[in-house]
Amino acid sequence: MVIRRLPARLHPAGMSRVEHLSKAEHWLRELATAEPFHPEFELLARVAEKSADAVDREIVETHAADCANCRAELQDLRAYVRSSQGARQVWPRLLAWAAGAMIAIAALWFVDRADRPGDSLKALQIPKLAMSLAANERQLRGGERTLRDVGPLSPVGAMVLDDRPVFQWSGVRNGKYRVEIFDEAFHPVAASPELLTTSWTPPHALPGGRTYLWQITAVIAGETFTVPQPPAPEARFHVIDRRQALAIDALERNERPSLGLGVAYAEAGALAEAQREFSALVAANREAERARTYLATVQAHAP
Amino acid sequence: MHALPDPLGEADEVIRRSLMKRRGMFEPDDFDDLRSEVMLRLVRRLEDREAEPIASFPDYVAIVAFHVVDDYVRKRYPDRARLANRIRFTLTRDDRFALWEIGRELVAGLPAWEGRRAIPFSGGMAVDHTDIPGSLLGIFRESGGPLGLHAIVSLFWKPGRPVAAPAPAPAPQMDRTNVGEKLWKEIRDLPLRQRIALLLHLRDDSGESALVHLGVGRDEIAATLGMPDAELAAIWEALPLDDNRIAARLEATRQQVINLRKCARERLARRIARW
Repeated sequence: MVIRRLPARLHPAGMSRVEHLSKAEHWLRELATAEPFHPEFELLARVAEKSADAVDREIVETHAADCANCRAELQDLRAYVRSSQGARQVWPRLLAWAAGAMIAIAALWFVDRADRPGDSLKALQIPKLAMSLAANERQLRGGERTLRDVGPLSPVGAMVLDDRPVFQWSGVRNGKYRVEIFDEAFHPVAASPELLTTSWTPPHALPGGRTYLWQITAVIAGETFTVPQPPAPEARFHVIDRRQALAIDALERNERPSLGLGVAYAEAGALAEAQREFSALVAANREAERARTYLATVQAHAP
Repeated sequence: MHALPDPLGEADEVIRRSLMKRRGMFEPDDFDDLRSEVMLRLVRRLEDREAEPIASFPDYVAIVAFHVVDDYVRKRYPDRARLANRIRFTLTRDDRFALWEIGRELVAGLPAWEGRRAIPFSGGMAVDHTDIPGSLLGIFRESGGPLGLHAIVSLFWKPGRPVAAPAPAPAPQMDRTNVGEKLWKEIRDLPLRQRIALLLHLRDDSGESALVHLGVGRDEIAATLGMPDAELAAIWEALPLDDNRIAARLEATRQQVINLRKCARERLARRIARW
């Protein structure tokens, strides 16, 4: 690249090219002495167990490409996750086989719900609960759910497949947080210990087929407060019934993306996952017309 | 020895206390090196104009001290760091265990103990690296109460030969030729999200956007940010953007934006070191 003459609007008044380079060099020196960054354990663990989102994966994987220690730790943790999962799968194998048969039947039902080329397009049956959660979220979005930069981000207004969803919230550096989860009757279900991070995964599975509310108690600069708090809207989500989640899990192991899986997501209420699957089909130009139609239906109901 | 300028003078005692809490994790001879490293990071942090304000300086100092020790362990005892990850993974993913934080220290035990302080424990029972959950159950049965995570790792880990401390890196002798061009090339080689998190937040000494100092036209900056020039023009006067606004553009959390930027800065630092 050749440094070319800058448009006048990019020049602060009276600053020469030499001064620009001097600024760049100063910045370089700052970079060269920057505090090392290594992904914290929870981030590494989520990538190792494949529960991290695309952003977190990018952070960890690009860093690991350059950092031999973190690369070795990630590889080791991945190996441990695989061996742990293998060990967990050994003893209840008989139960797993029985369950597997039931799941396969359920999965076949979902596949059958998906349209095949030549069939007329079947209407998606999105659960009313997913629509009402999403509609409620749309109506309430913009309400004052955030206080002093702290507010719930996810899961909010959605039906989720994971019975141990990753709770994420906006926060500030040096803040301390505690997450509490309640059922719809406001009975406490789970609570985190004091956290310095802005995400947390509950150690125990939340029972499926239920709707939950959650809130964050933050301690920032000595002040304690809870968000969201009335009159702000509650942060609600629903954990999808375990049998449906298992059936989807079986479909996820097949070739991706797939129309059947997209339909399964949508009809279980997992609208974000359904959008992702249909979008991937459109991008891959596979059953794109049907996927586009379904995508539009899901987008119309998503928060 | 000259007195350290405030607030670093106040930090010294916190550093000593924080390092002493983790004294089992490093060679006693390395104490002064670690203390110096914490100080160095604090100085850099205080000089970093892009960094967020520090809410509680003593808390921040303690966290930096812990990070310095963690980085030391990773470099000198990589097998201990990997073992600690495995144990921590088990403690956070297996329903039979719980891990919580008390006063910046991680404490682990059975779920029924959650929130309690760690008890002193010096058990020397045999542990099986191939059965971490089983070994943890045995340890907690023996201890009868929660233990600090580092104490638990120490029960599993038998110190081997530390990896030799790397020789101090010479001060970077930067090749001054074509600095702007080389920097811009490295930035363009970053993944898109990292470019966005870095460039939209970039600020100079006065707090204004530092994009003007990169020596390239706005259209090229826009292309590097993966956006039309008109879109960059629309936000140009509002630059630098705060993390919440960048997070909204990336559909990410604020913490992810901070991590993307840290990752980008460190990647650039590694590349620059090779110039």
